[in-house]
Amino acid sequence: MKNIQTINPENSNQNTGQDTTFYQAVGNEVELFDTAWNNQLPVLLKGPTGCGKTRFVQHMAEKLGRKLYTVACHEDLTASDLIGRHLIGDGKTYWQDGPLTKAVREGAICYLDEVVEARKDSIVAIHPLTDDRRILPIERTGELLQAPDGFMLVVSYNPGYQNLLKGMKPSTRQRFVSMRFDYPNAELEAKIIQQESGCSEDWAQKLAHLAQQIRNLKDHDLEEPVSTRLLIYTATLINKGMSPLEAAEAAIAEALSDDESVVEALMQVTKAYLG
Amino acid sequence: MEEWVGVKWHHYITQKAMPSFPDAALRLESIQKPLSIYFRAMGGDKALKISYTGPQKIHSHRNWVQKIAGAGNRTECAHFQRDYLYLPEKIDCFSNSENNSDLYYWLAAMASHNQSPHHEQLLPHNLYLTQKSIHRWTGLKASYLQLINKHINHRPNIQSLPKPLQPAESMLRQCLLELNPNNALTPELLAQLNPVPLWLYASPLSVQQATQKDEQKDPDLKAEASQNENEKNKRYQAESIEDAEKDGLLAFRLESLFTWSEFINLDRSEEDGDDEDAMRVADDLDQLSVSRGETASKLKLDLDLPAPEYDDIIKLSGILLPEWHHKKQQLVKDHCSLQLMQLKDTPAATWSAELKKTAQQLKHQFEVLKPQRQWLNQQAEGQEPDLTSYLDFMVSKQQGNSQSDPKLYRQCQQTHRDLSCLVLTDLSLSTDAYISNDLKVIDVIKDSLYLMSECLHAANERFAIAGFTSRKRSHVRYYDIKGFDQAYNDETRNAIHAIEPSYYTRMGAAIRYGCQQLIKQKTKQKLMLILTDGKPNDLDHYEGKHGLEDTKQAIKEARQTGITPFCVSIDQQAYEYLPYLFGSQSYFHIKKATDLPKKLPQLYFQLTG
Repeated sequence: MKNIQTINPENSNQNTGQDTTFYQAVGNEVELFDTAWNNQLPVLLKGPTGCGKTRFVQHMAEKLGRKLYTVACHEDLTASDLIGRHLIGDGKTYWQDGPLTKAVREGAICYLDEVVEARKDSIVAIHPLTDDRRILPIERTGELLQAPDGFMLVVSYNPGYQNLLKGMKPSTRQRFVSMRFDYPNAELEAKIIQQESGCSEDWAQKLAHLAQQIRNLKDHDLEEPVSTRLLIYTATLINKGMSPLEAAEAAIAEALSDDESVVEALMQVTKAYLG
Repeated sequence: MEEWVGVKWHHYITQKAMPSFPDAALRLESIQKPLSIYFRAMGGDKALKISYTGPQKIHSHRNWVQKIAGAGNRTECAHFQRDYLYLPEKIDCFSNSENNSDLYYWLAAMASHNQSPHHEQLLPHNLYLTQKSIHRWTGLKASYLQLINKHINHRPNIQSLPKPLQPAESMLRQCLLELNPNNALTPELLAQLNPVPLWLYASPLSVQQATQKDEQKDPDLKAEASQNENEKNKRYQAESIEDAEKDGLLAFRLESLFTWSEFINLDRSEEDGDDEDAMRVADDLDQLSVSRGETASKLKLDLDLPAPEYDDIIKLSGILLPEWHHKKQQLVKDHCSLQLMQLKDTPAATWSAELKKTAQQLKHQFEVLKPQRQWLNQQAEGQEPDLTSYLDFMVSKQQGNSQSDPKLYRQCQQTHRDLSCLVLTDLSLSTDAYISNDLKVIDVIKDSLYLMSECLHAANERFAIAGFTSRKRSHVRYYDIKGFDQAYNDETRNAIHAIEPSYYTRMGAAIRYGCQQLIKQKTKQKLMLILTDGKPNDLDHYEGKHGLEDTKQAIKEARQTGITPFCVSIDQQAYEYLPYLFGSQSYFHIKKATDLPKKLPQLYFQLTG
């Protein structure tokens, strides 16, 4: 084991002493997350795109003073991408920790974003970490890591669009405390838009109400309704001097659909609100 | 000649009588889709459909030109009626089409409050809705003001109206601009003024019901009648027959009247089938006179099976198949006899433009499934070294355990989708039933098969299409519409178009035969997509438990041979038995049958993409 050392420790999403990332609580999520962390329970966040899941984790990590390792899951993600692999240099081999292993060693928070995108067999690697054993066996090196109390595993996914062949194994899903996220109500959303984009209160209000209206179309005409993130984009464009209709067309209507008649309808709704 | 002059005169005089701008006319059809989405987005009831009505009779004052033209007494007003929001079929009251389009959106916005004005409170209610809309959607204010000002310019000159109506007209104009209701403007006066196209009007039925409340005797009949009317898409005005025409100028010989009315003591609520002629006549009528009184009795007919002389060609008969006997818990050998059928007539088919357009859109999506070039890692040879494999290899070499045959390359290859799909559709007589005004289940199935094949063809997928029907165990019929190795071309399209419903649904035997065809395919994955509209059933006790158990067994057998069965059903009760047959993951229930054509390819995409 002696010739194996950890090299090049990477810093992801490090808190560089600024104020904590802005997050507007909607329900009891902060409290729930706190309690889960204090009691070493893994957490699953589910909710539509752009509703603030990632931002929430970032905020909580800062609040709890933990380092955060984020992994964006994809189809080719292998178990060794999570746990680590050997590298060669100077005629020697080095062991490089993966983000999951790093988080376990440092007692940090490991966040697997869009976890259903990863192949099921790579996700099985997290199983021993998510029950009361809280261990991480590293096959290649023969190491067995015991997770410290500060370590926490957080995964997220979007239940909106699911392939029948994808989806989470029940054996994986049942290892987490689950929290559902949704878009905030108009009042809170306006606050968030204003805070994030720096636009005027009036515009923030208008956009938030427009969003409420567009969300009526969920399932019926739109696969996914407009996200808070898109509203912030729109507000940013408006704030930087674009005309409101142009901003909404680019950041809302065209972003939501490729179908011309849907775009046309969304623009008419936008006109009714912002015109 | 006489007719030609008549037509010219009609155009001339109606144009003189009613200011309209045919060049700028906008038809509802052309913006129906965005308009419906807009309506729902604004908060409109999602269950409502937007459609158009026949014009309704109005009682506003007409000038002499209008009277000569016979115009101005019928107009299309926006109103709610049961499951529909009715808007004018076309709007041409403004000189530029943008205004006409704005008017549609304005009406949809007004309607999205989901309130139907009471006919006696038309003015205050509409002004209230207008105010609410303008307040809520500030962007609509400019649009309203523009439309209303233009509309007021087009309203008849105040001086040209009869003296008693002159103050009413100016009051109305003031109300429209200031949005304050004026109590002096009574519903009676309002009814004599020209209608306001920006308003919602009371549902004609509710008006009629209000006036006829005490005349209603038989509540059962009423319920039945209303249910019937419910299914109508385009509505005609129904009104009580006492309404006598007193206003107007008869400048024609009676026999050349442009409109006609009739009253026959027939129970319309029981009449089914819209023959085209009746629809055409109804278009010409001012009003349909509907009787609610007691009339003739009903006739009930049972449908008979099609006659054998119209039968299709038997390609091969005597294919024996087993059937599951659930009481004995065993397969009864050679219990069913299957015939391979070919359609007799496959005339050249024409598919609707709308369907073709949908096919085009879906095809685009299916292109993704086309075999693509892809990088494969860990290959024995290839164009590029695979760095990850190389690392792993070097590490294990350094640690002293080297592999003899390392796979260290990446190769770019055409990947093949290793999948064959058999679409097996139910052609039993139950698919002959109507699911909407002019669509039968079989039409929906045809459209679905067409769209599906277009998509699968575009994606280079390996697929076959077959239909099945049965009449007792000795006649299970299997129509090979497209074989796996058969090219997809116009012949196949015609065959899809020519399928006809007949007989019953012996699902088990058909699935078994379908499996035999699928097993011959060399691909790794085999998908059997079964389309049906109901439970398995046949004359010889193949119903209820027996039919279900046999089908379940056939599906189990299919799974054992490595085939993935998946069922798509439009049966309302599908959720009661499909989970039992196919398991909770292997079926899909389409609630609205007319959605099937679009949903099916998407479902396939989702299942296999």
